[in-house]
Amino acid sequence: MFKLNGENVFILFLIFLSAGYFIGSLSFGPNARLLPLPISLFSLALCVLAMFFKEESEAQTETLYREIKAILLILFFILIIAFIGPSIGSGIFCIFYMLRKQNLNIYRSLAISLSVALFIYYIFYQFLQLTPDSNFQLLF
Amino acid sequence: MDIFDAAISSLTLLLTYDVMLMLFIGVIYGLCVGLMPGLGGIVAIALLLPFTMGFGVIPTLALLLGAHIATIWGGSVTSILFNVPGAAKSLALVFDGHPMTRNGEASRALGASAMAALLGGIIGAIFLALSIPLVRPVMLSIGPSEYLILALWGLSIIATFSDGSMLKGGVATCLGMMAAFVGMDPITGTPRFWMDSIYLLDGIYFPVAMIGLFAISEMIKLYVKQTSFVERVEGRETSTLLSGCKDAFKHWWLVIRSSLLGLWIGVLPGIGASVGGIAAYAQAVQTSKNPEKFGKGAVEGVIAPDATLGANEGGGLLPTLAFGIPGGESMAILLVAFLSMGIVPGPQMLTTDLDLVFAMVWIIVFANIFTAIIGLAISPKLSKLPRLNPNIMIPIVLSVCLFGAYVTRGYFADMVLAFLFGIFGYYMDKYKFSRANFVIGMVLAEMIERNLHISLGLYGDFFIFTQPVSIILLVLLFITTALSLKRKNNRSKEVNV
Repeated sequence: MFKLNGENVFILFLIFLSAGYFIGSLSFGPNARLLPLPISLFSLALCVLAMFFKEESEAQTETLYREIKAILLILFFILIIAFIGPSIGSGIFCIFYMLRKQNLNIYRSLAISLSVALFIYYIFYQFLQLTPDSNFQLLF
Repeated sequence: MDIFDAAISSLTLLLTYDVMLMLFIGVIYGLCVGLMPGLGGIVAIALLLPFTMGFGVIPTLALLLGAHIATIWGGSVTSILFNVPGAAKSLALVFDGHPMTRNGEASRALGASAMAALLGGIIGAIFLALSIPLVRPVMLSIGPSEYLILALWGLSIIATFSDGSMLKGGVATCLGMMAAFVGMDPITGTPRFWMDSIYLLDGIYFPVAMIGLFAISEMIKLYVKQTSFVERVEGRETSTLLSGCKDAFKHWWLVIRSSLLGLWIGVLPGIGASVGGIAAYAQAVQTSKNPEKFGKGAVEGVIAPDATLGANEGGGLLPTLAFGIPGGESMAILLVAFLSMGIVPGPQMLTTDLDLVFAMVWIIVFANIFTAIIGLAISPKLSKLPRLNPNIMIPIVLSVCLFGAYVTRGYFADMVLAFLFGIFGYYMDKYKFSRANFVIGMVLAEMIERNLHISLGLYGDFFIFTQPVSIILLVLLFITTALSLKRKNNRSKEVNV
């Protein structure tokens, strides 16, 4: 019996992904689609089979709230880095996270965050001589 | 020059204060770089190159090769402790190295890893020296159709990897291959699945995907579960470094087999050490009396890939020096270094300049010894890291991982892609779709596609049946796949009983 649980939603996502890939492959020439076309079709078939012949996994459903929080947290971190650069961004993220969780006192949290920021500063700016970029727009 | 004379004279060149100092500096530097995810041996050598001007040939080689070899073990450490492959080559270490850490056996895993890499490096160097006269005919007999079959053999070992559902394992492999097809078609240059993004035209950069799939997804998992990496064991670490070292000697036959495999994979240009590590793992599973232990913390799963990686570098040097064909990316950078030092690769390297080749062989041996000694010395401290509180661990590891993704090419977009792969990897792991299969599919897809096109172009549609070596490899492929499927079937029957 088909149930709309987390696992089935994930498999449905994979089915749409494979189907989209298959349709996309049709627009390429014979050389360019030689492998992507059959592989995506095979993936689509396996996903459909996996949907109906899977063993019930022990995945917990009550973790959804924490998962969303974790994903948003990393997104927040990436945005900080985008706006203020990797070294200061990492330092701010570390202090923010540690103070919020209150596992360490403020001085230890500050010391660890500062060490992370300095380490990244040294590697990024001094050692590799990179500059905060730049190429964000390439993705879009 | 006689091979024996060349070996002795090159050793005397090496045993000097300045060469040993350079080797030591190179190893320390390589370990530091190797412990950073995303910064592999290529970055390590590329950054050292400008500082080598003015040194002699042998000290420079000691510095570069020392750094290169140490980065490989550094990558193994992050795979074992944090499930974060430092580089593509260290991928196979996450399959059993990290489960060992979770079982409270981090010290044993690090000890076995360091010792296997050392033994692999030494065995690889010895066999490299002995096999110099044999290399040329073997290299010339391997063409695109043979490479294709070797890649297909790599895919067939997925039957071994898929611990749970074969269907899910197959889906993961197909998805990995599909991810690898993003970007320009290798033959016609047709842009595929680029969604009008210039960034995606280059394809999905493998180290970035790996950082996302393994490292960021693990951080999401830690945040959700709120436990440290070592969640199953309470109290003190149960294993010792010495027990790991002993394990490497106990499985001496596995070490020798894996080292020879690593050596020959290194000799064949274009295969790469990442495939070597996976192949070594697969042969360890296939030949083990207890294959069901693999994936749950079997020490053989650490020993085999590390021995292969240790031996691989020696093998990679041969085509680089003898034909100017780099065995992999890091060998390409070394080739540039050789040229800048006035070393011109060619067949004469294996005849008139044999002492230089042997000097490199000795450097590999000493670099492995130094790496093992320093690695074993720092391992007790390293093995405590996974027991840190997750609330301290998450921000630090996340910073290093995202930063690692950023600095691999200096693109901010790489960080975003690593994040997306992190989410995908988390759900793959949660619903038991093998991330290892995804990565193997991704690694091998490019090799399969390129060699398939070349083979079709050169030999026609029935190319496999026109090449004798291909036919032999194909038969071996079918036999090993059938055997591993049969074993898997027997195991599942036993479990059901």
